[in-house]
Amino acid sequence: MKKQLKIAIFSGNIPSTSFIERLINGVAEHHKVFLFGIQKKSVKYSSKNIRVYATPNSKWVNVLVTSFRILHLFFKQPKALFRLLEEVKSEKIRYSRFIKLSRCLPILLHKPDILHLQWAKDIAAYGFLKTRFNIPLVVSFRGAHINYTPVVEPKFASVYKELFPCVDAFHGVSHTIVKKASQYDDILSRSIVIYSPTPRFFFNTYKPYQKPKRKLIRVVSVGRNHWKKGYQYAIDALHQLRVKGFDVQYTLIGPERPTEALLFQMHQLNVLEAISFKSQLTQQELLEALQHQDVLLLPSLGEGIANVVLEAMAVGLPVISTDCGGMAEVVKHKETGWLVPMRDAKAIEAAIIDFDNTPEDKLKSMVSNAHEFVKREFDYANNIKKFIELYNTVVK
Amino acid sequence: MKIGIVLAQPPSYSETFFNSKIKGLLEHGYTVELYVREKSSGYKNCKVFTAPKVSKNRIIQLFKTVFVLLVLLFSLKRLLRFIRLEKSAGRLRAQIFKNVYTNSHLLRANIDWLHFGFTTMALQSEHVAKSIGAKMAVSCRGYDMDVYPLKTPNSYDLVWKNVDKVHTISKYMLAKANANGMLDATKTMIITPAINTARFEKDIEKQIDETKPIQITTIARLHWIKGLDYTLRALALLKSKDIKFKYQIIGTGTEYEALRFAIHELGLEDSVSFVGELSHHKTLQQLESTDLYIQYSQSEGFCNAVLEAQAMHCLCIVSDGGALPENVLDNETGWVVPKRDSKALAETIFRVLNRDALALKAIRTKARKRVLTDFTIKHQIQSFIDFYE
Repeated sequence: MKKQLKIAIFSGNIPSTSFIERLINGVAEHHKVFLFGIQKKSVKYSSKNIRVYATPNSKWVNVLVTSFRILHLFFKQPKALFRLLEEVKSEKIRYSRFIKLSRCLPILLHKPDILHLQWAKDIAAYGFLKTRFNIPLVVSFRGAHINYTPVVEPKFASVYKELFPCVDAFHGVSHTIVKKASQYDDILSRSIVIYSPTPRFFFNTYKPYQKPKRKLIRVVSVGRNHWKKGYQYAIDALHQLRVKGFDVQYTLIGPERPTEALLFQMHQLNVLEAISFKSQLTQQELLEALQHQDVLLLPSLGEGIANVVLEAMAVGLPVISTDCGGMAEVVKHKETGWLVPMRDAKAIEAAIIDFDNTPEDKLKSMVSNAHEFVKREFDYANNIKKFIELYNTVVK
Repeated sequence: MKIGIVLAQPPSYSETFFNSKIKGLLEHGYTVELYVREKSSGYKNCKVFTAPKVSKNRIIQLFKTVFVLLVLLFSLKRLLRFIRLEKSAGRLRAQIFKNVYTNSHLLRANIDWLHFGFTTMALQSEHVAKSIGAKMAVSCRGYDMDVYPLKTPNSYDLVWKNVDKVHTISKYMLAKANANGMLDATKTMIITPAINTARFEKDIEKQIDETKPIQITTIARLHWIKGLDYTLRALALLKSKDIKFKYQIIGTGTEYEALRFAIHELGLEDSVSFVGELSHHKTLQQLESTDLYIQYSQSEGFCNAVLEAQAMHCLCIVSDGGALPENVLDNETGWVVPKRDSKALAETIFRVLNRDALALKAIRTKARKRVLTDFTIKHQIQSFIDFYE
């Protein structure tokens, strides 16, 4: 049996988002997984391979724990402690120095074989663990941190240019994002695309598509309230459709209530009664909610690959998506869904009309194509296998 | 006559509307007092009274409350009247107590008119004017009528019940006030913003130079209501037609990140710049070199910036949101485009750029003349005098 590695899957928070938690559990079937970061609520992992070395959320508990960890590292590896203290001096404010110290101490104490940063932006704070302490580094590109952070905060573009050459391997959630990240360094030979898996139970409810015999078109979008989600274009399109006499209902799952901007837009365009909001649902509830819709719309302005589109494809719901991030790798226009340009309400409107006009046979085959594609490319077991291979190449 | 104006803080130098109103009223022999929540140093045009602050420390707050109540004992009759009116409106005791504290500076005022500069400023102060024997006026501005009532419906019911006269900055705002429950019997008056004509005396000869990039400007907070995302998309369409332009946005705000990203995604990085906030003087300098002024907001109460752009010989293209069609007359003093339609905006810009210089000159001249004649501070002050008389 191969030697078990110690992999730190680092997102900054314990517990992390659902897809990172899936990765943690999957990798723990093969290797030890170390979790560092701020623990916001208690967690229990069934696998003994998962170890939590958290930084306490409470300030005073953190002072105590960090003091103990300082002593521990002093006796274990005094040189490492002094190097770390020297490193944290680069922080301007005293409190930030303490925070950095408290977050990095457990990593140095338990020195993992690989530090896998889930969010590219964290390389600014933790990149030195590779350059000064030689901990092999893997960085994931998941969306925003490559797509828009360096655009709106140009200092990150410089950080990426400086530190990407030191990274051992990169993981991207899409080919598009890897290509985008390669503007900061020649990373292609060190990069691998691993699609995020879609939970299996979404596939279990798949039914061949049946076109409902009614005039009403039920459109659904899923996601939080954020400008990046582009809901305003969806509402503009909805308005246009209603002006043209289409009976459309739009449901937004995620935001409990509209933002001030959306509320104003809904009033101004007089579409209040055609739009409903449902606060965040569990995956099971989401699954059920999707089954009562006719088409999923992703009006986003930036994504890695939106999980919700994959989930809709898995359950057999037709999708209309903007051509943002890596969506074109999944949504092939008129084959597995409709792909429309970003920031274009008229294109969304046209796609919904086209969807409505498409005969059942064609829709059936599109939905089936989409389902098969996601099943093949976004499979859970295959996904974990690829991560294990990636880690193995890094330690070699 | 003594007029008390209620604002969040004393108007800054660039807030033409309030500054010119206050100065004008003072010049005509009125006494003006400002009642604000936050005092900023250096405001010298008139007396400024500040509302008592609420402290987070309970003990300090207790002392402050005792002090405020003791001072109010000198205006006991007013205080009792205020409490009675609040009670009769069905307000909860705790809220009445809070309102007594936050309105204590107003309850001691000796004025003929209590004028709330924004309708939202009158909330929880609806009974003050009656309690102190003054008349109550409110001004209806963009956010007051366009956005706030959507979030808290019927919130102005008590305002409408108690107000003596309502000032709106446009016909659109008046219609909105009606839609938001203003009583039919309420006296109203539309007094639009105005410009200081002395600053616009210079006659500039403008002509679009086709060999140079067209200078386009918008003055706006970086806020969703300003429709800047639609403007940027329209400009991207223009760029795809190979039209060379430089677009500047004067203003700051919370939407910076979203707009910065849009500029990147739309490939406009070399054509668009955020200038940030500028002084009034510098803003006018920028308008002097502007060919095309765009205000493609989702709604505007009226929009002073568009008035100033017209006075500075800019060709103005605006949306039909809110009162903008009152500000710019379509095809006469500029162009009005349906809101939320980037393509329509791009087409209008394209059409304007293709019109001959003489036709454009006629529009510029007419716009400037109309603004300098109909939107003067002199006219505004006279309207306010009529309003209070």
